[in-house]
Amino acid sequence: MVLQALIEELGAEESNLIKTIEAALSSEELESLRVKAIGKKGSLTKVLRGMGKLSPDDRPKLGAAANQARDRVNNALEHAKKRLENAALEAELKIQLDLSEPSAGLSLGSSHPIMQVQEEILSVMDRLGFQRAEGPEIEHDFYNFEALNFPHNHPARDMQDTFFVDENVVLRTHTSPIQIRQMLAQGEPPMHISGYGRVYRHDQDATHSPMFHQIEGLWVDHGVHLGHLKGTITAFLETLFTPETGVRFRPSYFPFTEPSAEVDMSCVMCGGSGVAHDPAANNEHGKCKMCKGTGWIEILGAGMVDPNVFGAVNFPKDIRGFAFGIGVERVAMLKYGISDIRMFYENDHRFLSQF
Amino acid sequence: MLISRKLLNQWIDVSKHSIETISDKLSLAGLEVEGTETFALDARVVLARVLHVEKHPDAKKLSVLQVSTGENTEQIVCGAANVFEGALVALAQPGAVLPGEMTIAHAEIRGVKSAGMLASEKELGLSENHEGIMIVAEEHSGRLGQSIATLLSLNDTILEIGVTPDRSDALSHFGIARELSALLEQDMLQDGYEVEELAWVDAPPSLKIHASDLCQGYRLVSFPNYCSSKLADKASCDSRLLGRVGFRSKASAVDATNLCLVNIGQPTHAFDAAKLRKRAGSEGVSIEVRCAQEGEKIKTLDEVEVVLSSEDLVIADRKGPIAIAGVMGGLETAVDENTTEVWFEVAHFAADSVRASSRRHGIHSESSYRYERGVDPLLHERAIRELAKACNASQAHILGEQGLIEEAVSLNFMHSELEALVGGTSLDSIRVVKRLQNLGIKTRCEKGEYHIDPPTHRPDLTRSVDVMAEWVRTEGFDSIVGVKPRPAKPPRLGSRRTTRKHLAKVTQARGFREHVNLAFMSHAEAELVASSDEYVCIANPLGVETALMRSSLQLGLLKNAAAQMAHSGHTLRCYEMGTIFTSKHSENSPNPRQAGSALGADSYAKEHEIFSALEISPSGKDKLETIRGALAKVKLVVEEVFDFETSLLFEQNQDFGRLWHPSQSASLVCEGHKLGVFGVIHPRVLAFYGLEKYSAVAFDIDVEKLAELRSQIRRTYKAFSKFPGVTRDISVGVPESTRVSALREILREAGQGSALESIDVFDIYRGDTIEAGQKAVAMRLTFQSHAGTLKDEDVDPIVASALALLESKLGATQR
Ligand SMILES: [Zn+2]
Repeated sequence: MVLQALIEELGAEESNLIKTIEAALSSEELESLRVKAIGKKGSLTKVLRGMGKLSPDDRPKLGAAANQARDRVNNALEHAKKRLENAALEAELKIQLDLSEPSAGLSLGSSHPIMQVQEEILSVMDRLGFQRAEGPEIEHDFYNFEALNFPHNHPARDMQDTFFVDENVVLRTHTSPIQIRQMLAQGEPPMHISGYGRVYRHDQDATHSPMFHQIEGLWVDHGVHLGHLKGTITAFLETLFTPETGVRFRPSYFPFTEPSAEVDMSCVMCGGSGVAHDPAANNEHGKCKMCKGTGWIEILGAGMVDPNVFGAVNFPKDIRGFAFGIGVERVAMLKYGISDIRMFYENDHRFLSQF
Repeated sequence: MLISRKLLNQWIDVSKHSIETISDKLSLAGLEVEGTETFALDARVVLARVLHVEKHPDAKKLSVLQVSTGENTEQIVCGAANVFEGALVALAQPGAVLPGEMTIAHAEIRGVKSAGMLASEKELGLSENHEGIMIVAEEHSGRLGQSIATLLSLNDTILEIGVTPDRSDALSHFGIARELSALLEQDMLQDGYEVEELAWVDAPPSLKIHASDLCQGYRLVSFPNYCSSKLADKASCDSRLLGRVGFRSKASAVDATNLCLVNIGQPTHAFDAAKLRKRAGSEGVSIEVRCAQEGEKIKTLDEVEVVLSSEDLVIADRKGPIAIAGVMGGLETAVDENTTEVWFEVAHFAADSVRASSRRHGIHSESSYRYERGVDPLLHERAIRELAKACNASQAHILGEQGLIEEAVSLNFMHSELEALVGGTSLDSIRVVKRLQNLGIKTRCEKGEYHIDPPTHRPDLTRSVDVMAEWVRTEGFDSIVGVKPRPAKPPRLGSRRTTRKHLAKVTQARGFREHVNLAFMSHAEAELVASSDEYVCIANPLGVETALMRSSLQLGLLKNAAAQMAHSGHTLRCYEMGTIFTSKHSENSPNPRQAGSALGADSYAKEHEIFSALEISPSGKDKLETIRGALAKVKLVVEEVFDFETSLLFEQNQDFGRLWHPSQSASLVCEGHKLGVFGVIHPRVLAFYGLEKYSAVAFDIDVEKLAELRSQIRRTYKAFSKFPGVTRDISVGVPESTRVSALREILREAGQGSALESIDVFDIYRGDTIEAGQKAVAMRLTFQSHAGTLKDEDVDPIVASALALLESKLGATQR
């Protein structure tokens, strides 16, 4: 009957263990119960020590019973483990954190709005096939004026108020000297240049700065005509603004192009209607403030390259080309609704952080 | 330029066109109408006669009037001194709105009722005259009660036109009318005014042109029976018109010259004949057109004494210059309110000469403005008619001659050239000929070739392309079909551009914002950078703050920081990319016509593209600690800029110029090239900007050099070890003067040939548990082998020998 007693002892120990396991509250407690139950010195193992008292026939029976008991305890341990894990997960999922608390660490810096717009314009010109080019900001009169068909002692020079370094050296008044340098360097057509950079004019008020940024396109090739100028500029403005942008060419005068045109585009504020949707954008007569009710705003200057310019760089007589120039600040002011150009150069972070 | 619709109507009848139509036509033909202003006087301002004047019972300076508007008699209180019984006046009736939004109402002035007011010319917006009420000429007496606006035809619209420098022909009402005639395809009105030419009888002046290349004609004109006090009504009408097109009314002879100018664009001048006779004395007046003698003087109309050069063309009598030709007349012979006899000058001077004199002496007049753009040399007869009209004269004494007018060069071009320019669309040559002829350009077309004779009023048409442009201008760009040219090569990405992008990416990721500053500086700022005088000075700066081209970008950033700190005391991180300039005045400027030097960027000054970054923050209690922290943070950014190159050296104790702290700055040296400076901004510089309480850490990098270095990088993949590395942390105490780079060098030396892979300094401690003047540097040594997992015995002897070397060479104690 020793076997019976031992099996009962095993049963009692097992149910005792399972009860404790089911009541366990932490994984640490569970781990110590596992050691206590089925480790080398565990209580179930201890029962097996009575094996010696048994007959060789009974021994396997006790062994089998012990194995079964051990499996059941293991099962209980597994269950308990899952139960505890579930409980822990549920508890974790109940912890509310306040995500309205502030962020920490450094915030991202930014490009200056002028540089952003400059890059935007240049990337549109990249896609149209223009190659970027730069040049010196302090220029000889030859590159800035003479080669561009501004003769000495000619009233056309009054169109650009100039900073002088000495009689023959000026702060460049436009990006056009880049054209001249590039044409002289390459020596022959074709040319597809987008010249850009800082330019200087002796002028200062809410819409004029003594330094500003300009971008200029030059396209020279055999067979180029006014249709190319018009097609390119229309595509350029439609890409830079919206595909619905209206474009108008008004004849004008620049010494380095003939014929020349000022290019207007439909007003960004009223869409060309002359009356803005937002009443605050209209003046006391109910007309759009930005375009004064005309529906058009001046955006760039353009024209066919004057033959005298090709003469100055020794290009063939029958060559033709077109050129256009745009002010980066002007575009940025239109895009962002900025009315005072000086804002750009104050570099106030309350301003810069908006772009 | 201001154009009055009323004056325009003298030359072309545009009454049936709206002002919008006229504006659009002109704007789309290159004469941009920049604005319009309409003058319309309220019709409730009517003509009235003062019947009776008596003193106001209760106010000394006021009168109580009975005025008649024909049908009614009204009682009006008036304060003007010039009111009299029988005067014709402008009565603003209740309800009338005068210029300046002044509304007239029934009023009671000191107990006396007033049914409106009598208006002055200023109150009606007619002139600046505010001395008393407007008195209307007696000739209008039959029209009491009628609107003053209709009576005196006061209403008008003024167009402001931006005339480009090539269009001298459009600088007058006549010129604009001629343009409209072509654009509207409508004839101009015939000018029926006739002037009879009389011989100059008593004592004519002698007249001689000495510089016929600079003066293509000179006439003196005198109108007999001309009296400077014209009809009062015409005078006020003329001065009103002149006022509206931007001329201040002056002596009536001057008004006549100005009317001639705005009407037809011919500058003229009025001399006081009596003053000329007085100067000449008994010898008689002798007038010469000649070049001035060097140093000759003249006091001009604006009372400035001008010292003339031998290149100035002048009008002179025996005593000296009496006018600078085409620029301005002299004060001594000018007409004034006492002038009784006027000699008008009608002349033609060369554009270049007038422009040169005008610029030389800084005198810019309406006359020089027109001459330097080119005045039609065939305008003299018309000018004499205009002057006569303005002076109510029908006869004139005329002396002098029209000079030789250079014949314009004939131009020709093929019809196919014009078609190729506009884009291959086929054009009708008959239409082209007609259009050009409408513009006054003599044109014929034979066998597909145009033959052109440009008119004298279009000095801008000198080449066939100019004439083709006339077709485009008047036909409009709408007729041109836009096409895109065939695509060119895809654009290339230069190393300069990728370097700029890299710099922006690295700094923006660390919170730096880009700034754009004007590229100028003051002399005081220049002194902050260096003591040399190698600056680019601007000959005509806007002010002292912008007198020089900048020699450092840090100046702009510091100035921005100072403004920013005024409202935010926080740490500010900013950067700028741009050009700095130094002069090259010791060398001669290269000849710009040498094609080979066309792309040499440093031709006339040295221009360097620099990237500058700045971090500025309040110094706090422990300034040194603040600076150390800032240096560490900003140095990380510098290292990220040079992410491709581990041999970046920070070389201290060099000459960095005055901007940098001499003991807390370093040159950035890479592959033997000096690429920039990193360090602390000099406290004296911070003080200049009022930033004494702040600390600033900054760096400058030469973008061109960095781009060159980066363009040489060939990134290649290096295999990394598959086995785990072994690390050992060591900490040593060294004197403050020992540089961390020295520790690293010794560790490298000790680890040479071993598996030592990297040395990372992870802590530097100064404080209570270490001797004063000492610092504890904690470093992690990482050993790594490609052959297998390292064991302790592979590593420990190296660490031990390294520590021994640190102790023997630097006196470092292990902690
Ligand atoms: Zn608008």
